[in-house]
Amino acid sequence: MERFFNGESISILIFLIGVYGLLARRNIIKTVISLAIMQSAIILFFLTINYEDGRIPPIGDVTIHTAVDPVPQALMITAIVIGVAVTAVSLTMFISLYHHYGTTNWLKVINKRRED
Amino acid sequence: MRRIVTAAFIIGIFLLIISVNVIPLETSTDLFHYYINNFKADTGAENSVTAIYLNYRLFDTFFETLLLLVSVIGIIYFSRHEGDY
Amino acid sequence: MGKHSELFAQTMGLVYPIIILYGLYIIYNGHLTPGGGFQGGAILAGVFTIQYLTTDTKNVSLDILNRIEKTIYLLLLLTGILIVFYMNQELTLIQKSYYLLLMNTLIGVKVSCGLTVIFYRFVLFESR
Repeated sequence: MERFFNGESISILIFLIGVYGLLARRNIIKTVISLAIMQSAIILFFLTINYEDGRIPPIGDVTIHTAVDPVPQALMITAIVIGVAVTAVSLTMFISLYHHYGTTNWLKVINKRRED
Repeated sequence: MRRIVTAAFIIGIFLLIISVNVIPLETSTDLFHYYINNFKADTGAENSVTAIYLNYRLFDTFFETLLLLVSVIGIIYFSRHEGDY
Repeated sequence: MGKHSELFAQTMGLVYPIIILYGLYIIYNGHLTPGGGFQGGAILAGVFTIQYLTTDTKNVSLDILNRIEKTIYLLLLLTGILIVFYMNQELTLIQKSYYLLLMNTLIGVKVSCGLTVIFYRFVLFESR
């Protein structure tokens, strides 16, 4: 049971939920939400890479036997900011698209673009 | 129907990944040991995450803030229609 | 947006100095406790959101905010490269922690300006 409930398995599961959202849904907003879900799965994966039970945050007087790895944490701050930027830009592009075509469906957008 | 097939496909991939007998990832610990042992003497910070992203890996922070700036400029110009501000 | 709830406006008027203090606390203790420039800047950007929700102001000058952001980014590059790549060996520990404080402050102001611009662009979209 320990093998299935570690951070790696859970993050793979969350990532595949995001992939399902990308494949099965044709709503543009839901596509953006799926991208955000996949991004949080990647953050979870990186944060649990070097983790063991009972480790404390790497702040103050710590040794290599008590603290967690600070490198993935510092990298994931970058990933969070990039996620915010990607979500904001894609939502802005969606609003532009909606003003122009009046639909939230990928296929209808493609059809209307073909008609023009 | 399409959704059910996709869901079955995704569940199959998940079971396939989980059932593989994974060898634990052999992560390098040299960097971790160096940062934990030296971050106070090197940077004067108590928080090692701040020590990493403002001193050891400064270029990371530079390009991250540049990306936020570029995305803000992109939002301003994407959302401008027919002369309104 | 139409009318505003008086209750909400009064409560938020009480709360938002506390939010400013909290954001500044997170920025200025970024090198001692969990936190830092990005997190504190995001909290400070919440103040502008509250200002929009309570008073319905639209006269925040986004042009000036964007210009502040660009200037601060150039300052950030200058400070970081100058101190870390040229003067890192000569500084004492106290001076290095002041450098971290300066960088956290610059990043915090920059991020809060950027997130405010993003929020107000979305609001202008909504009102059309």
